Amino acid sequence: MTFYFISDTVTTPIARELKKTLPELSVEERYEEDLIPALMQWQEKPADAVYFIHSDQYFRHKPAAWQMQFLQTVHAFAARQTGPVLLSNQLDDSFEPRAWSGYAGRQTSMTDRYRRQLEACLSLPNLYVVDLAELVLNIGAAQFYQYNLGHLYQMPYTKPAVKAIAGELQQQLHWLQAEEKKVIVLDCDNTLWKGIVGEDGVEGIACDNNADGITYYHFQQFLKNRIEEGFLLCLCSKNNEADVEAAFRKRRMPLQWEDFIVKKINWQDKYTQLQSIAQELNVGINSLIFIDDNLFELNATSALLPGLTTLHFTGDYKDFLHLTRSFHFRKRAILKEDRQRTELYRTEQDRNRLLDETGDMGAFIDALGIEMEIGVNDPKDLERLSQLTGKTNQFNFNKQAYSTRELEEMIETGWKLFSLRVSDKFGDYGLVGLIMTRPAAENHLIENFLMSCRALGKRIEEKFFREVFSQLQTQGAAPGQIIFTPTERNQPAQNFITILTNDYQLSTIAGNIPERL
Amino acid sequence: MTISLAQLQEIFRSAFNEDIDLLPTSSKDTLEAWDSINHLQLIVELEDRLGVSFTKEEIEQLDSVPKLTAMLAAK
Repeated sequence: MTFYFISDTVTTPIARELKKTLPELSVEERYEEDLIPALMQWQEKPADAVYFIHSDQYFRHKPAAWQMQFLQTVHAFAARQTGPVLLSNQLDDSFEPRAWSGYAGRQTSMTDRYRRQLEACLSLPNLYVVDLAELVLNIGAAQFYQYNLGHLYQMPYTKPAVKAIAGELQQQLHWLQAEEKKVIVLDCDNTLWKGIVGEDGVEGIACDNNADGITYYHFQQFLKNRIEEGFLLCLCSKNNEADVEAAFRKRRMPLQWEDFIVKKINWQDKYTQLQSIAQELNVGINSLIFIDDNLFELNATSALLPGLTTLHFTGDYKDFLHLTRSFHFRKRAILKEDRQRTELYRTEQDRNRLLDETGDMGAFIDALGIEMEIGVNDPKDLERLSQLTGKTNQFNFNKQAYSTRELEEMIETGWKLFSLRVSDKFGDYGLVGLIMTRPAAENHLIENFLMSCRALGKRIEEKFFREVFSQLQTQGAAPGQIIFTPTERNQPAQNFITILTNDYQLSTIAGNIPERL
Repeated sequence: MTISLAQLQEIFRSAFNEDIDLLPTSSKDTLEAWDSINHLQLIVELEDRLGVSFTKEEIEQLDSVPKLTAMLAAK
């Protein structure tokens, strides 16, 4: 991977600092006084490049018209790239902490015009904001800038600033390569409110705008906003369930009892509880963030559950600000499907109850009243399809993350992307499946077949494949081969292969997974 | 502020990212590594470690250990 600085300040000190923590990173720097022509004429296009585009507005003071054109140029530049483009943002005219405004690296709070333009940029799935405005706020402008150096050498930063920018970039790079978190598991006493509900009683706990409860109140608001972004909230608390339910029902707090999708409130050890939460939600342990005030619980669970992310929260306001800035809470994109995620899991729980009642799988599937809608090469599906290629692990024949742009290019070169939408009597699953076929003179190839885990276990994958296969057959393009790359996690896809080889006479080709972000 | 040559050497090494040997007479002419990028790194390190700040003139004129020692003595 090559990390490019494209900047209107000299970035060498930042690059050196970044190399200290990431010695294997290959870094290129391009300094341009005016970034607009530089970006317009940018020629190099290595596939594994990550760009950091940095125009320091506190230092450069470019006019508003330039800024608008700059953002448009960045947008056009990012649209030409397959890899991530990080854009530094410093034009924050609001002093509202991110945590209060539901800020998550994909939204900003600043002047309306600039904001609209920036949000247009952020509609690109490979463009991310590196919020330097926040670093300036944290450090203080007087401690951040060294204007004398800036005016002489175009390098206007102090050492703390250099360190902060490099640290932010390092975290951002790590985040781009790490798996996204999906579930936030919370302890209750002294984590979601001050006090112990079992001892202090429902009226004795604090989560309000008074001094004792205010951090908890803001923390709950922060968590409430995460639901909107697609996180699932769960409880894992050593308590009597009735006490905790009473606390949520009788006290007016930002979070409601119903906001939690799985609740493990009992006296068993948290390690077992976290495991069963992951199982119930059908996610890996590394999708969980566990937050507790008790260091013993955090240490014990993270020792026993490798991959678990634990965060310590004690109700201190500094901790709160630090925690809410954590990259673990940032989503790469927030789509319609994410906003409905809690709702989707809730209807899934209704379905499971129906399965328990009907008992028999066939009768259950009939009772669901499943409806499927298959689209072909639909431009409006591409963003969600790109997200699915990056996030689906279990039922994924050949895991490769594709950008929206790459998917567009495939369609332009004759590929067929079949997308699947599913609904049943309990609700809408959203867009949950993708079959990609690559054109060939003969022996058409299925490049990939993937299904979101929420649609599995209802024989939908069989119907989807049958339908796509027969559509292709009618067009004289019946596929003969499918690529399959076994991974540690795609056992469900592996199980399905027999059906494809037996019923459709498909032969499998081994794929390989190229390194990509 | 007075500062020992050993302390200065440590700051130079960290700024230049190189194990240079600093002499009381070292200057831009005698130290090959003292280019403009390392010069600005040096200013950044000096300001950070010693809690001082340099004016534009000082940054421009600073080209040797004796000048640096004199500038620091006046701060």
